[in-house]
Amino acid sequence: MTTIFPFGPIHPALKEPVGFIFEVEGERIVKAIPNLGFAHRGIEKLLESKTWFQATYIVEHICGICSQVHQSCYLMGVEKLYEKEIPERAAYIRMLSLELERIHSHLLWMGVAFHEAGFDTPFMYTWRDREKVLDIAEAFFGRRVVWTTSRPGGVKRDLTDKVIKMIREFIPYMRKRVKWYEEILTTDKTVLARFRNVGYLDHHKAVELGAVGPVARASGVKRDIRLEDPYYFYKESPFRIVLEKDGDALAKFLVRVKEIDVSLDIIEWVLDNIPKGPLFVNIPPMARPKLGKVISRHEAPRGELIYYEESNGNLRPYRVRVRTPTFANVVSIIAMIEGGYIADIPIVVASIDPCISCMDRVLIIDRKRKKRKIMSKDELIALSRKEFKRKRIKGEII
Amino acid sequence: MLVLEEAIKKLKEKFGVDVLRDKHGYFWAKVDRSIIIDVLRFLKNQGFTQLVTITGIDRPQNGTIELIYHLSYEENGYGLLNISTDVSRERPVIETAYFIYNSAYIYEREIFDLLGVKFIGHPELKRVLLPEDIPKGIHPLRKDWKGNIAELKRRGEKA
Repeated sequence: MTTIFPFGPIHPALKEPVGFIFEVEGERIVKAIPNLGFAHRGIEKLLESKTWFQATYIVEHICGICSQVHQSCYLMGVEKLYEKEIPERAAYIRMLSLELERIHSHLLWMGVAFHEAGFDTPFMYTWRDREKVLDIAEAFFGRRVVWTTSRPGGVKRDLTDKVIKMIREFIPYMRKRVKWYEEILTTDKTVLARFRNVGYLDHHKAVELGAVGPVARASGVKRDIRLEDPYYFYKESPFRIVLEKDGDALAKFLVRVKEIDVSLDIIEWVLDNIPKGPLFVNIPPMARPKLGKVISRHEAPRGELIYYEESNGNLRPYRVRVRTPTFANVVSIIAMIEGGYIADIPIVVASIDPCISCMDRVLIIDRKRKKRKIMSKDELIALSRKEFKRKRIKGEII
Repeated sequence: MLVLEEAIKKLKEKFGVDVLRDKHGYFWAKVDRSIIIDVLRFLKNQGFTQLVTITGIDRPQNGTIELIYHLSYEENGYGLLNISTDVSRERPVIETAYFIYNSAYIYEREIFDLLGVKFIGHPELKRVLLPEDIPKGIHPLRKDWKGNIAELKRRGEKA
């Protein structure tokens, strides 16, 4: 007996809401069909009616969490079209903001994933650590979200002594925390029991389905734009790729935790090596770019971000195409979720880092009995926790 | 970079296409609609294992819609190869790449949704980003589309 199980509508608080329709047999999911577009705002069309300069401040609103990577990636393309090179100091500051953003995004994700599995104490801890990044952002850029680091041709604000001091204090603190999180994830029995062997994606499938970011790297796929197509000064920085082999939710966890450590190394390197100089080169706002098409790629916290920009010599873009990492990972989510259990949905979906609040309302239709049941996110999480308890009583978890 | 360039050389020999390299290091090629699937299959076997995305661009002045397949090369030399092809604007039909690259599933649905290109053989070709109750033939990323969706929906309900 198969039961159809739509999954959504969606909470727009987190980025990129995703809905699904599941076919389940008992507790096991047989088929998953994605259902997107609940927060579709038509930004690609909107950008065609704005100037290249105005678009700078629209693209960063595509995502509330990784806004800087969008802005930086878009501007890299624009600067190629205008044939201007940004000053070195600006590139360093952009790198700094990108890595700070990666730390805060990974911490945010970790907290939510812990929470979905029923571990609310580490959720509080990770979000407390994330606050520190937001405090740095507030001192640095003047705001806590949507930082607006850049402008066409460079960056807006300079590093001050106060910010440098804050970051210098933050680095050793965060290193200690990363070690602690790693210890929890590799030794705590309850955590291991809930995350191991859930949402499995093997190496071959990850390549086939075009998974990007931590999802791919947790399956051992060497895919990181900072390595493939280094931008700014990533080639010189102490960047190293983080790979895990297991491909389950735990491996995705470990990849992200270890990436925080890499980001801290890069931030420290930036602070040590940042050169003096101007913050931006001037590009007149009403100047027209060269005719042509460019591609720019960045490694966002969730994976590869790619922009295709085409100019026909006008003040306004002819076409801007954005491919966000979660859009690429949707196909992998299907593969991971098929064959799993309903109770694992919160963890599987959380392990990919899309929009967890997609689970706000879940509708279960029994095909045979024609019965409809709406399950809220809380009920689904309660189900997830019940499953955990059941496993422990049965002795599947020591 | 050597392995990548060898793969591209083979592509040139086999299909007789010109592959250009822009100053930012990305490769560009244009092929005919009829051989695009063969080209993609060939390239996948050569090591272009990832379809990064498909971009669709409407060009009403030429009467075509351009599709660009961005392929990423992995192992021993990373690179991005962009294969573009044209479909007619009046009858936008092309074979699906889903059976070569599974990740095309979502990109083809997106392009069908926003530009109206039909991918023959796609397992589930329906709207993905826009609501499904939008009338047929409305594809907002086409340059001649200037309306707003709410108004269209109202009109659709009346009709």
